[in-house]
Amino acid sequence: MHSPLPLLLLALAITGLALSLASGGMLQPDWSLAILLGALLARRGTWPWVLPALLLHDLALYWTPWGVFPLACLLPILLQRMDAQLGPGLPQRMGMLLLVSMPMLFYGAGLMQWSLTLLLCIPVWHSLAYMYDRQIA
Amino acid sequence: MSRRWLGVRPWIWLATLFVLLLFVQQSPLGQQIGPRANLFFAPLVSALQAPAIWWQDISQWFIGRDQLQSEVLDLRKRVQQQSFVEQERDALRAENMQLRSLLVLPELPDYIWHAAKVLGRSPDKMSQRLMLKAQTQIHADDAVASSEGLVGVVDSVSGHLAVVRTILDASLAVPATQPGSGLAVLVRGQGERLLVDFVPVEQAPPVGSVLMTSGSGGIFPPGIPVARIVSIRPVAGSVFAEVEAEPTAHWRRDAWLSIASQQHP
Repeated sequence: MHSPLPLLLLALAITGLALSLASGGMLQPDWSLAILLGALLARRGTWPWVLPALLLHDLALYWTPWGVFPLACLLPILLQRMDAQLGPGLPQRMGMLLLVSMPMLFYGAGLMQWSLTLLLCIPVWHSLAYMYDRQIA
Repeated sequence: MSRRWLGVRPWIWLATLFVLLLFVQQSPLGQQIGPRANLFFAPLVSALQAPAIWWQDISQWFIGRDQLQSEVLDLRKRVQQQSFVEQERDALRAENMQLRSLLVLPELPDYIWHAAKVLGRSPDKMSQRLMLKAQTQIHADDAVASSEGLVGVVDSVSGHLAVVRTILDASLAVPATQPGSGLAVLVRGQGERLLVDFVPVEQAPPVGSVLMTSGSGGIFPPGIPVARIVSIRPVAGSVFAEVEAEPTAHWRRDAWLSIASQQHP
């Protein structure tokens, strides 16, 4: 049975992207990045729809594909390797979240905006992980 | 993600993807992907702003009659003053034409100014890119200015929507000068600051002075303030000084901007 969750998350990410463009001068988190990274960290199998959405995010906000997208491409592979070697755990995921969101600072976002994005991403990631677990159960 | 995907190792897929992205970005089509992506989102951005615009429109209905009347009187007064200024401007324009013909100088192309609403901004600290919506037709390479100075240039257009690269964008260079001097410099974007190229050390204007567009190149109308000089550092062994500046315009808080379209014959 197909879950409507990916479609809902994509719609939220696109709305978040438009919100970032509509009020670019305001201090706000990067809504779409937080949702998409949350989804990818909650379940690495979401990469087939998360990575193209991240590419669109980079093109719309930074006008280049070399923003968050390249590091996010490495995320599913690294997660798999690390989970196999260290066992599934939070520390490596937190580290990767910090690493993948770092290009935001390079493309003009302030420390405050970066922190807000991380603060939004963590509860999204937690909620989605909980929902995916319930689906499996 | 499995160890192999369609029989190929994931890192080979990734390397191929990155090479493909690099190739696409270097192509002329790739340069336009970013602005096109912005234009694609313009209707959604407009829809998100609609509630705020409706609220503003509704609140207009409740503005008091007295306030409206005083505003009308004030505007009438301003129109009168404006008509005097226009008369004076016409006289000066005629005089200018006469002097130009005497000096055998080429006539600068005329520009039509029209207002455009700021629909969206890029999320970086300085809002290096803007999305505008105008009632009239906009063209690529039209100059964009605020009441304080030059903002940037129209990069791409779709109907009445336009994406603007501001002067802070590293791809933009504005020919500028200091009024009353023979200075001919280039003002280049550096992300959060501006760099002023080709300023001879002896002719460097003082810190705080304002550079204006010179009109060379034909894209920017002459006489618009561009940058205020912040620092000047002589470079050992170089004729030119290293000059940093800041934009005179503050577009992060402007809701409306002006677009200068060249009047084509």
